[in-house]
Amino acid sequence: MSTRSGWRRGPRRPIERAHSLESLATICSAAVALAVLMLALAQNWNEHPLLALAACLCAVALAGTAGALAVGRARVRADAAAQRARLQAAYAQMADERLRAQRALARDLHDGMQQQLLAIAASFEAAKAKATEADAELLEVIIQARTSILHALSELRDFTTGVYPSILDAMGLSEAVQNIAEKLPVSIRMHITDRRFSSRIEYGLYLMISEALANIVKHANATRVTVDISVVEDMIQIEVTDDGIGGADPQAGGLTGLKQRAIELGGELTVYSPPGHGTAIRARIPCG
Amino acid sequence: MRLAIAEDSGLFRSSLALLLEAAGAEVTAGAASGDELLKMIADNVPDAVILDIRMPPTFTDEGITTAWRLREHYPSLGILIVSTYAESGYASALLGHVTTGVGYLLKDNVTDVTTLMDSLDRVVGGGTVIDPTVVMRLLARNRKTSKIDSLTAREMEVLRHMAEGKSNSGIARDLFLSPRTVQSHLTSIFAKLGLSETEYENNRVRAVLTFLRTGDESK
Repeated sequence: MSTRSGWRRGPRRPIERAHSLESLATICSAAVALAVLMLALAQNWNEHPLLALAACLCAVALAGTAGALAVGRARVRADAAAQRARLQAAYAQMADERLRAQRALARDLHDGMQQQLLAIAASFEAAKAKATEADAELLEVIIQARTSILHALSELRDFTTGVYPSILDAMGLSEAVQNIAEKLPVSIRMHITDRRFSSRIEYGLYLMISEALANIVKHANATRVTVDISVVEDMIQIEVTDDGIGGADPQAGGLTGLKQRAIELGGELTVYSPPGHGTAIRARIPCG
Repeated sequence: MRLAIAEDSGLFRSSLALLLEAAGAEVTAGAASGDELLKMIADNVPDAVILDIRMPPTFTDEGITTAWRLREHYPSLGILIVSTYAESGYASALLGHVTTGVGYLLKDNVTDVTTLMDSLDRVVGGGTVIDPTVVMRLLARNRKTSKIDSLTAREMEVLRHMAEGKSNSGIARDLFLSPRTVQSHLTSIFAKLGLSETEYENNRVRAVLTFLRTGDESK
C-alpha cells in the first residue's frame, strides 16, 4: 500500500497529507517553545520578573502543545493501521465468500444442467438405435436434436470453467495453468511448483497468470513465453516473460488489473518492458 | 458384453444403461460411487466398468482413484472413465497408474453409441483409449514446438490416431493405408520426436501423451 515499489506515482492521499501537516506543527511548536524559553533565560530576572514569568509560562504551554500533537499523531497512525487491518480482513472475507459462491455455481452447472443435457443426448442416441430404417425422417430429427444438445453442452462446459476451474481444486495450479496454455496459440514453457496453497491464493494466482497470458496473446506479438512459479522463503515468486515487442505501458488497463490482483493477495508486482526486448512481469505474494 | 456403471447422477446413469442395452450390452450393476461399485461387483465381475470421474465423497477425481483400486483387485478388467472435463491432466493422471485396458472418454462422445462400444471393446481387449478431443487439444498446444513442426501432415494424422490409442491395424483401416505404410510413418514419427520405438503398443500412448504434455520424453 505504499510507493515503495515505485509504480504508484499518483497524488498523495488525504491521510498522508494530514500526517505531514501535523509533523510540521509539532516541530514548529517545539522550536518556538525553545526560542521563548531561551529569551526568558536571557532576561534579567530582577528587572522584569513578570515578563520572565510570562515567557516561561508561554514556553511551557508551547512545549505542552508540541507533546500533545506528537501523542495525537501517534494515535492517528495507530488508528489508521487498525483500520487498514480491518479493511484487509473484510476484503479477505468478501473474496472467500465470492469464491465459495462461484464454486457452488460451477458445481451446480456441472452436476445439474450438464448431466441432464448429457442424459437427453444419450436418450436420443438410444432412440436412434431403436428406430428402424423405415423411420428415415424421424431418424434425421433425432440426429439433429442430439447435435444441437452437444453444441449447447460444449458452450456450457466453457462457461462453467469460466465461473470456476474445477481442475484447480482437483489437481492444483500447475494443471490448471497447463489447461489455459493448451488453448493459446503460443509456445509456453512452464515450471510451476506442486505445492498447494489456500483456495483464495490458488485462484488469485490462476487469474493473474491467465490475464498475463491473455495480455501477451493480445498485445505482445510473442513467439516464446515462460511461466515460472516457485516458493522462496515463504514468498511465492511469479515470473511471466515473453519475447515480444516490449514497451508495455504499466498504467494500461491489463497491467494495472494484474497489480491490483497482486495487492489483493498482499503482495506486489513489477513490470519490465523495454521497447523491442520483450516483457517480464514479476510478482511476490506471501504464501498464506 | 457385461458392464457395470458407477455414476452419481441418477439421470445420466439410467440413460446410459438404456443406451448400452439398446446396443446389446448387459448392465449388471449401477452404483452411485466408487465404493458402492466395488461392493456390487465383488460377486459378479463384469467385462468392463464405466466410471464417472467426479463422484462422492471428494467430487474431484474419484473415478481415477477408483480405477487404481479396481486395477489392484482385477488385473484384466476393462476400465472406461467418463468425464465432462476435456483437460489433459486427468487423462494423464489416469495413465500414470493404469496403463492397459483403460480409457478416458468425454461424456459427449459417450452418447455416441459407435464410439462408446468401440472404446469398450478396446479396453476389454487390453487396449488404451484417449478421447480425440483431449488428443486434439494436446496437439494444438504443441503446434509451435519445433519437433511437432517437423512432422508431415500425414504423420500428424497418424500421430493423432495413435495418441487416441488405436492399434496399427486400426489406424491403417481408418486412414485407408496399408499396415506397412502405417509402420513406416510410425518409425519416422518416433525418430522425429526422439521417442524410443521399442515401446509396447499400450505404453506408446503413454509415451506420446507425456511428450505432448511436456515436450520431453524423460519426464
